[in-house]
Amino acid sequence: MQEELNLVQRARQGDQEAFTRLYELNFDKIFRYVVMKIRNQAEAEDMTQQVFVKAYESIGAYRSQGIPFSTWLFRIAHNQMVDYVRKQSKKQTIPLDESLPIEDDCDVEHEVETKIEMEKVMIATQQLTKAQREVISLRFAGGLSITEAAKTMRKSEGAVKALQHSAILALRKTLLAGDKGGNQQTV
Amino acid sequence: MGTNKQFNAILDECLDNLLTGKETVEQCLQRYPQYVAELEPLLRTAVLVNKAVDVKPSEDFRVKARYQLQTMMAQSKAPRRAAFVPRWAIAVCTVLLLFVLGGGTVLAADNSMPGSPLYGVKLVTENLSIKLAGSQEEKIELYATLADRRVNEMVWMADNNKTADMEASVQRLNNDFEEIGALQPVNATVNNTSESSANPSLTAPLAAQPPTALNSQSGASAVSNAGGTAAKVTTTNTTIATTTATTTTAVPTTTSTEIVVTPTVTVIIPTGVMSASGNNVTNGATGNSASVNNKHTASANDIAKLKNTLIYYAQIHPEIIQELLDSDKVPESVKPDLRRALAASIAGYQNAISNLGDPDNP
Repeated sequence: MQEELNLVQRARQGDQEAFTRLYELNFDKIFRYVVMKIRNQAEAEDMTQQVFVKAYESIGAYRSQGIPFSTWLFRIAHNQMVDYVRKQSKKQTIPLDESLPIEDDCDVEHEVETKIEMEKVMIATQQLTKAQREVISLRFAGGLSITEAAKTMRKSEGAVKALQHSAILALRKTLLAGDKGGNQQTV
Repeated sequence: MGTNKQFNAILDECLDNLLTGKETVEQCLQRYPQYVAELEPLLRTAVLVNKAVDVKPSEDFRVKARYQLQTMMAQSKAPRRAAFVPRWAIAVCTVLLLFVLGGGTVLAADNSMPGSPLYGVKLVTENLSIKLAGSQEEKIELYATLADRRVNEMVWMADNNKTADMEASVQRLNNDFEEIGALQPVNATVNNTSESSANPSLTAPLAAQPPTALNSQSGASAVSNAGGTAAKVTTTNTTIATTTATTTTAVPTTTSTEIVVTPTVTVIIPTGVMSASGNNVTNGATGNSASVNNKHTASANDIAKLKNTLIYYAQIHPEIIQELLDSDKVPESVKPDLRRALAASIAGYQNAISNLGDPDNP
């Protein structure tokens, strides 16, 4: 946390190395969050890059005030997502990306299994409410704590915990329903 | 209710440990044997979700992205700090007044919450900011900023069980919303076209982004801090066609700036509508051309920024007020006023957005 604060302070003063470090620390988390939301590898990559471009452009205006830098980044990402989804909604549905990334060093069978599982989860998340989906994206893909997720979502921690509970419960039901009659998943 | 809360806390604790690899599902279940039946399926699902979202960008992209970022940083200037607005006269006057009030006190007051002895000072400085605002657009922006503060304060009061002053806050909020809707921007008479302003839509193709660098709320509450003012970034919206050549670089929209006068004094002065230069604005509907030389007249770009800010607030304020209405933390006696505030927020922002016209079709 202290390291992050120092980096942010230096980055605000124009230290590019400090900003690059912040970028490295947060890049994967933001990418996962974006992928989970839009399920499109190419778009997610572009969007992740845009998040950091915007963060760099506006870091001078960032003041901590109890809001961690990562929370601030997730808000930028969220705003971009809102924009993206709005545009996509005019172009019908968001396609499930066939090229969602998987680990390079896995065997093919495991890769396929992982991908199938991932797609099931992704599809199941679409059944959640907007708020439930946001909690799952922030907690699991973004790796934020409840406190950080609450700040990002502008909700109380209690409310976010309750949303998390109901979201996981709903995911479980959807995943179980999807497996009925077919492969039994251990959920 | 208490049991639910307790279970949610346990679930969250186990999830934290699972997600950070500190504990396995079994270890967590061992610690809470009384919750095994309920906890286990949820934790197993969580493990599955966690596995599914463990995706990484391709290495090619990672290299390319890093290179692009570094190129961008090398080509651009240093990150912009919150712009210092050269409104010397207002700033100096304000500083003098604030010194009279006591700079340190004002800073402390700026972060104060209802019920605090300094809260009155905060309200005085806010009123002062309104009085010093030069144009109608600035006033609208300030009232929206103040409304955002009030909303944050109410969330803080609800979260901290300090609702004694909530009624007064709601009334102030109502007043802010009414002012927002009632103020007539100078440009409205110039920019309003018969078609574009007649049907204002909150779902206009403007990205509803949080305004930047608005008032600094205190760190007193996680929730209140997380209010609209906390997200200090908006993006330059490329769909906004500007009619002036003022700002063309992709920089974040700054709707208000903290002018740091001394290390301890901050004053809210909006910058989103600060263009001092006169603009020639043509009324597209009638073909009439009006030369607007009023130094307080905002450019089309500024209007677009203000409109974007209002669209953002128009989305989040009713949402937060509705959450407060649904919450059992808010006393029933306050809820009728809160319902009025909800209606006033919707009407106020709709009117204000309508009054601003369509910056794309001046």
